[in-house]
Parts: sequence; structure tokens; C-alpha cells
Amino acid sequence: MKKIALGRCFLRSFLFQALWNFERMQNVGFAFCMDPLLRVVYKSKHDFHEALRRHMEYFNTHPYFAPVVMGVLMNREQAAVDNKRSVDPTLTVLKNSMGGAFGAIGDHVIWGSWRPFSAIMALSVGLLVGYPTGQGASLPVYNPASALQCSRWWVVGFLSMFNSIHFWLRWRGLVKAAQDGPLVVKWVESLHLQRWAAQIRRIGLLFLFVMVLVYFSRWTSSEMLIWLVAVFLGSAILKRWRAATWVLFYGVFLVAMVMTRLGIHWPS
Amino acid sequence: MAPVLESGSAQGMMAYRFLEGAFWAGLIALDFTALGPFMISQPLVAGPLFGWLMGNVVAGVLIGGIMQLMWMDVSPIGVSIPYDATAATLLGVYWASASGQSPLSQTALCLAFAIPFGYLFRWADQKARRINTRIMHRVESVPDEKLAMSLWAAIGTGIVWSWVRYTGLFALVFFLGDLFWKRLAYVPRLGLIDQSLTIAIILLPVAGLGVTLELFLSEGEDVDGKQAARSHKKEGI
Repeated sequence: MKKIALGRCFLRSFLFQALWNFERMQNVGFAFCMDPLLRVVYKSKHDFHEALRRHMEYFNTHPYFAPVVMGVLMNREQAAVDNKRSVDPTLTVLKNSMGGAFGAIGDHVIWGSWRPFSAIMALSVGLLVGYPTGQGASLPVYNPASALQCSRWWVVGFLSMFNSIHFWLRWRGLVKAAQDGPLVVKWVESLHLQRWAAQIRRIGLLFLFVMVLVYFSRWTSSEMLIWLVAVFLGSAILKRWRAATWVLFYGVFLVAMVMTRLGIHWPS
Repeated sequence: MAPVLESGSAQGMMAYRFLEGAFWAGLIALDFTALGPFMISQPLVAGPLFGWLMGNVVAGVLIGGIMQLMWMDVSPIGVSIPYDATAATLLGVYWASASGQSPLSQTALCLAFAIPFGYLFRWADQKARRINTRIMHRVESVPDEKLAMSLWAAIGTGIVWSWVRYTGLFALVFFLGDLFWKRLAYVPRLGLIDQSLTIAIILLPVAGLGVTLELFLSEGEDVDGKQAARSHKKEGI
């Protein structure tokens, strides 16, 4: 019964942000996902309705960590029912503090590290497979077969790599939190997510440099290479100075015009 | 009679392509907010996928790759709504696919034209989420015994509403873009511009690699916090 409820909550968690709003953020999604769990905890309809209403309060966290908070709340509510106590009013504080903490971890680890890392991995592997090196500047960029091969790696490679961690985190976090309650933070701690994020970024840097080398090696003209290095370093420096990405984007078009004026053409 | 029939069939094909494009673009964009997110909306997935659906994988790969690298640092941190790189990718791919296997310069031009629309879609997303607040208030006002059912209805409405607004907005922008491209087709393009656009396609991934380098080097040193704070200020939260 409990496993089925957890399974339902897990599936519903993919719709968690469907009614994200500025006033109470993910409250509707949270209550929606808690529904199957609360049905297991509360046998009386009145208590169930009351509990569901309680979860319509403000809530915001990283979507992949939301099931952890749901599991913890289920555990606490179950404990209150088992001990015939009224629900602890500090649960709301616990819910919001966990939401805030997991939100920060998720933003840094998932959005800031795991997603760019998976993307750079898929991009570099796809480029190497689809457009092998050694073909020089005469490489047929507009070759549908190469593009198709490259896109397979991008789509399948990236989605499977990224979502393997995503699905595992949602399901394992929910089950573990439902078992351990607030002590789930020890499990989260034991994952050393921040340390992993730092490592992932370092490995990502390595892949990035491989990609840069592979890309640059396609051009033999020193003139072109100088421009490529200038654009690469220039955009990194401008980004560090908080330049907007659209400025960089259109700036590249300006650089391209200057290069054309100077007589640098492609392929050269 | 034959030319009339031909032009009618060409118009029918265009309308079909336009509707098909808006339908798929709306579905892919759902991943950006309402469903998952499974990351289907990331440019490196959305670009090739939409390119394949529209019959031009090459443009999808080029635009998807460039957009992914350039906007690698964009993510929905906290309550901020980021620049809609997905919408810009889908629009760029749609326009680049209009002429089948478009040349490199045409792809660069389509992408340059699509970039500002990412801000339009972000603005529309902000407005849509204010409507979500109204739906949420409706759900809150129902009696306790109907709350569970109302939550289902609200989530369903949220998904349908997201798809409808994305599809509608994509359809509108696709249509306006098509009109613009038709007019532009009659304007002779200078060799200098054509060459510059081709060079830009080579340089854009390099600039994207620079952006990604900065992201990996920054190690999250309060970049997220500053981005969120800026966004809160803009949205008046």
C-alpha cells in the first residue's frame, strides 16, 4: 500500500511545477503530489482533507529534491498519527527550511554542475563521432548523415546521462525520506553532493579543453586561429565581467564582419 | 488551371508545416516549465529533435549546439524566470528549415533573428504565471471535500494552458517570421554580409565555449544568488 502510494507520488512529482505561481510558488504541485501519501496516513476523510489543505501553503524548492521533502512530511505525519498526537505545528517550518536548503543544493549541483557537465560530455562525444577530426576545414558541415549521427549522441546521450541521476534522485530520495524522516539529511550529506559538483566541474573543464582543441585543430591558417583564440578568451572575460549573452552573441557578428573586411574567408 | 492548383497545394503545404511546427514546438516547450523537466527543452536536444521533425537536422544541430554553448549558464535559479533559449532555438530552426537545406549564412541569419524572441517568450511566461496565481486562488476557494479533485483539474489546466499559450505564441511568431523572410527573399544580399554570416557560424560555438569556460571556472561563486536577486528586482518580488 505504502509502496504504491510512493510510486504514485513519484509519478505525480513530474507534474510538480505545472501550476507554478508567483504568490505561493509550487504549493499546488506539492499538495497534488502529497495526495497519495496522505491517503495512506489518514484513514478518516476529515483528517485527510485537513492535511491536504495544510499543504496548500507556500512552498518552493528544486523540483528534483521536492520528493525528499514530501517523504519527510509523510514520515512525520505518520508518526503523529501512530502516537495519537496532533500534527506538530513546526512541520511547516521544517518543510520550508528543507525546501530552501534543497533548493540551494539543487540549483548549484543540478543546474549549475550536472546539467552543463552532461551537456559538454554529449556535445564533445557527438562532435567527435559525427564530425571526426582530420578532415580539415573542408569538413562538410552541411552533411545530413554527419548531423544525424551527431544529433543521436546529443539527444540520446545527454538525456540518458542526465536523467539517470535525475530519476534516481527523485525515487531514492522519496523512499529514503519516507523511511528515515528528517534524518534523511544524513543520507543527503553522505552523497557529498557539493564535493561531487566541484569534481564534475573539473572534469567538465577537461572535456571543454578537448573540445576547444578539436575545434581549433580544424583550421590550419594561423590568422584564423588567432581570431578563434581571441573570441574564445574574449567571451570568457566579458562573461566574467557580467556582460549579457546577447551582447556577446551580436558582438560575434561584428567580429565576423571585421574579419571579412580584412579578407579572412572560410574555408581558409 | 494547373498553376492555381499548384499554388493552392503549396499554400496548403505551408499551412500544414506551420501548424505542425507550432504543435511540436508547443510540446517541446512544455518541458521548460510544466512537465518534468526532463531536459528535452535544452537546446542541444530541442534543436536536433525539432530540426528532424521539420526536415532539416543540420540546421537543428548547428543552432542547437550554438544555443546550448552560448546559454549554458541559463537556468531557473530560485524564483527567477530565465531567458527562453528553447524558444529562440525552435524559432531559429523553424525558419532555417523553411528553405530545406539552407546554407550556413541563412542559418546564421535565422538564428540572429530568433534571439530577441527569447525575451518575448520569457515575458509571456511571466504573465502566464500570474494567471496561474488566479487558478491557484480558485483551487483554494473550493470546499475541503472537493480539493483533491480540484488539484487534478488545476494541474491539468496548468499543462493545457502552458501548451496552448506556447503553441499560440509560436504560431504567431512563425507566421510573422514567414512574412518577414518572404519579403527579405527579394532583397539582394551583398557578398560581404553573406561571408560575414558564414564566418559568424564558425565563431559562435567558440564564443559559447568561452561562456562555458567561465561557468566551469566560476564554481558557483554566488553567480546563482546574484542572478536570482536581479530577476526578483525585475519582477518586483
